[in-house]
Amino acid sequence: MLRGKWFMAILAVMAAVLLLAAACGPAAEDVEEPEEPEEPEEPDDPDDPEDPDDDRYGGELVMGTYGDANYFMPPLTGDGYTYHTKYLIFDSLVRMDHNLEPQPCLAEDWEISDDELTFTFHLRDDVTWHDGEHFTADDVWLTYQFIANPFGFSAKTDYLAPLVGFSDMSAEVDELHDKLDADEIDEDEWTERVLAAYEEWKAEDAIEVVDDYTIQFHLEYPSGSFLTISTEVGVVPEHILGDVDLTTTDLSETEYARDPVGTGPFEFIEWERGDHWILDAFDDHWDGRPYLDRVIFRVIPDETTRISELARGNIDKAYSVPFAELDYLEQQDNVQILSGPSLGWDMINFQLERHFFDDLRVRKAVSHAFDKVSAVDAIYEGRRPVAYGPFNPAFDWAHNPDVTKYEYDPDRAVELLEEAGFEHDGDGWYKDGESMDFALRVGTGSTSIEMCELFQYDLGEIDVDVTIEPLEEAAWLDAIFSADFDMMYFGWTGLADPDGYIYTVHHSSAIGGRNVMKYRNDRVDDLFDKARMTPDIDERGTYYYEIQEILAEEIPVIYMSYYVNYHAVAEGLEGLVPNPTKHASIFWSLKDAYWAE
Amino acid sequence: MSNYIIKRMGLALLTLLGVSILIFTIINLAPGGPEVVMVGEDMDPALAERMRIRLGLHEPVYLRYFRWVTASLQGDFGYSFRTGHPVLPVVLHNLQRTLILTIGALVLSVVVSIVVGVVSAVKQYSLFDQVASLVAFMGISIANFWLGLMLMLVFGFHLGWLPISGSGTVGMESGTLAYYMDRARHLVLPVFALGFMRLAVLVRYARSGMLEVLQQDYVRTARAKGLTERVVIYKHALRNAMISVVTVIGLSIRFLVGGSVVIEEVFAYSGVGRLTASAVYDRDFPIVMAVCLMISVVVLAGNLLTDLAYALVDPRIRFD
Repeated sequence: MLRGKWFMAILAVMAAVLLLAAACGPAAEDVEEPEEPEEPEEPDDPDDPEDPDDDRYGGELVMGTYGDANYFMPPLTGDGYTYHTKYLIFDSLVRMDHNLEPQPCLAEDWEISDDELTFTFHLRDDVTWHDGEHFTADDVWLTYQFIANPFGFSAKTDYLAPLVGFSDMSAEVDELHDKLDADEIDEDEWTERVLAAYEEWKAEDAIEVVDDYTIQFHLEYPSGSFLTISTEVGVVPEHILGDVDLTTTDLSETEYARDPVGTGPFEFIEWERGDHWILDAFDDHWDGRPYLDRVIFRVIPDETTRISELARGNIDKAYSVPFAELDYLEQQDNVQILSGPSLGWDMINFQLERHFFDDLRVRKAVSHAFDKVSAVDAIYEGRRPVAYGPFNPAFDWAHNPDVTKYEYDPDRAVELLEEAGFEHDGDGWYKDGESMDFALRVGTGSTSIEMCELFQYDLGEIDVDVTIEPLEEAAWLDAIFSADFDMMYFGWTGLADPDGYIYTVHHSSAIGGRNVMKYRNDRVDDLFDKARMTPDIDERGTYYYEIQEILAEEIPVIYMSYYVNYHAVAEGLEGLVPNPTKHASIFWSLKDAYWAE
Repeated sequence: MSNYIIKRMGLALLTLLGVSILIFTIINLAPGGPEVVMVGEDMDPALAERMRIRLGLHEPVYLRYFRWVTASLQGDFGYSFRTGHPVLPVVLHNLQRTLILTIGALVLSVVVSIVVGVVSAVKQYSLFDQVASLVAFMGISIANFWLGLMLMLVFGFHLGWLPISGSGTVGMESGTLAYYMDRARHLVLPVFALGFMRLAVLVRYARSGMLEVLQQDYVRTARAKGLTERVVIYKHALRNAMISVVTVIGLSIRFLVGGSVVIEEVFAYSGVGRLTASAVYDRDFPIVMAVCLMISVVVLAGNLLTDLAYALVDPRIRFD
């Protein structure tokens, strides 16, 4: 008896302690205040960054990231953090500011010829590499050759498609790749023929060094988005990488890719794989030394851990904070939330060649059955606008707010199913003996799955049974890639120009690529092509307006929401400006960031 | 004895070969290859094809496996698909971190469990025994990532006594005393979170092993001879009770290495567990292969050492 009592008492106490620990969570008053430095003196001249008395200089910044860096080799690729560090370690010819206006960077000026076929970039003559060498047009030439050279295996090859002769060369090379894969030719023949194709293209001088500080790009057709492309490529040094033989060396396996030298505002110090990487201010940057002395990236994969470190003040920015935590962080005295539009959107894709989704009435029925406005509000805590098309409102010249919206109306959904020839047999909808039930696939992020559950619930209300199939990342990408789904929830991130990413999701030429819903509409194709060839932004806008009307009417996908970036950063950090492109994020402005106080 | 060891080593090599074939097959069967992860949302089939050729994935699986075996036998484990690092130094570096973590957890769980188990058995049904049993049951039931998060919240976040996460303060000069102290402080919570569950399991084994031995005739004889209780317990009973505990300790190594995947993730501790997890997500085949091989070596070595330890604690066991 006594034993039992003791047992229960101890159990109760233990449970209480554990529950308390779990429930009380971090409370605002428990968070240690960041150390208060002495009263700041007024800077003598806040606009002169060279002023040595300016007390904005100094301090370090610790970033809590969720994944490791990639190799630091901008021409090759750069998913995730390598894109971000591009703005820190490297410079591009032109950079895009937060209003999506091109600004001078390594190129202080540029000209586009009257026929719009020649882009001439005039480079700065006062740029030094982190190792003290001088920057010239040869560096730019080499960087773009790394992208163009088939043995560079760059993921950015498409960027160069408008260049003279480039598309033909790529087509030939891709054909050779297929032959190699099918064992129709051996490795030696493949190497020889690919090399020949590249050498032939290179001889055409589509990328031409005019003098040490002038470089020209010759285009086959006018391209409204070529300037944007020059913002996407960080330039690497010829004096280090000039001797690399791409036929024998993989760029990612060079020493340089792990110990890069750039021209950017921060120089690379060290990288411990999977743990952290460190960048220090570069004193001789052409645009002046950045304020911060040091930027540290720490890899903290667990979301809860990352948020705890931020709230505790051990890191100064937490990457990818879930929407559910933003309110909590906003209430913390030592954390501020910066926000700005982001160019992507998320959506629930129909696979138009599967199930019954080629029938517009079925797609309409699904749209009417799903209360997407409430779902978006609930999942994103009212922090993202509901989308009715792919064009982000940030493109005010292209975004058409006035399009067809299939509002939540389950009765109308049932009518549409009946119109489409479905019959309800007591437990579900059938047409020609086939059930209307289908599977919705999704990646494993918790918010994505919650979104799918709301969809599942709403469809269940009209007796359509949706099975949710969560897939781990590689499997999920593979399913999207091979269009292996009835419906799929995911999103696209955006580039600085809508043509660069909206075209390839909706144009019929991209079926087999990013057009995974297999959407085909001649009028839409035509409008996209016209917009692509039109430099005049107002005229382009009218084409995009019409595209949005058609897409909203035909709903090849259910557009869900436009992305908005939320950055949880330490209080006191000033000068950061979110940029709507995924790659620039807040990093493009890190050079101008400083600690107030 | 040495014959036995040689035989065991031979078997271990065969096991490693089997493991490598198995892992190579499994990762190649998994949906979505490394080229898919690399290409990501670019989604361009021509680009994916280019990546396959770049990574050598256009060759048949058996040929790639054969290449991998011949290269790795010469110590060349290739380069990471994702980061371009040479694989071996990365894996060894992370393995060393994980070994520190697991050995810490092992020592903690073994030492504490033997002491607690023995005391519990000797003072069966005492208050100490009751509490120990309760804590042990809790340890077995609690998921270690949850325990890790709670420890982090209490000691790292609220009290601020210990670092919340990381393997060490970034940017510290290595080799100094302060550096090692800093590393040690970062180890406390993960070691405890990782070791607690094993501790709980081992306490149960130590206690029941000891209880069983205490009822044996030779213990009664020892007592009848008039030996002090101290000598009876620590000299006669404990050694015999240890045999079952040694078995479980040997088995613990693989659980600890497995558990480190989760614990390293939670505490952002860059060991081999986290390396494996991210390499699997990225389909970074060279890393996955090397890591699995290294872990197999550690586990096989642990098993061999366990068997040898039997001979130490039990003179009746001879390996001939």
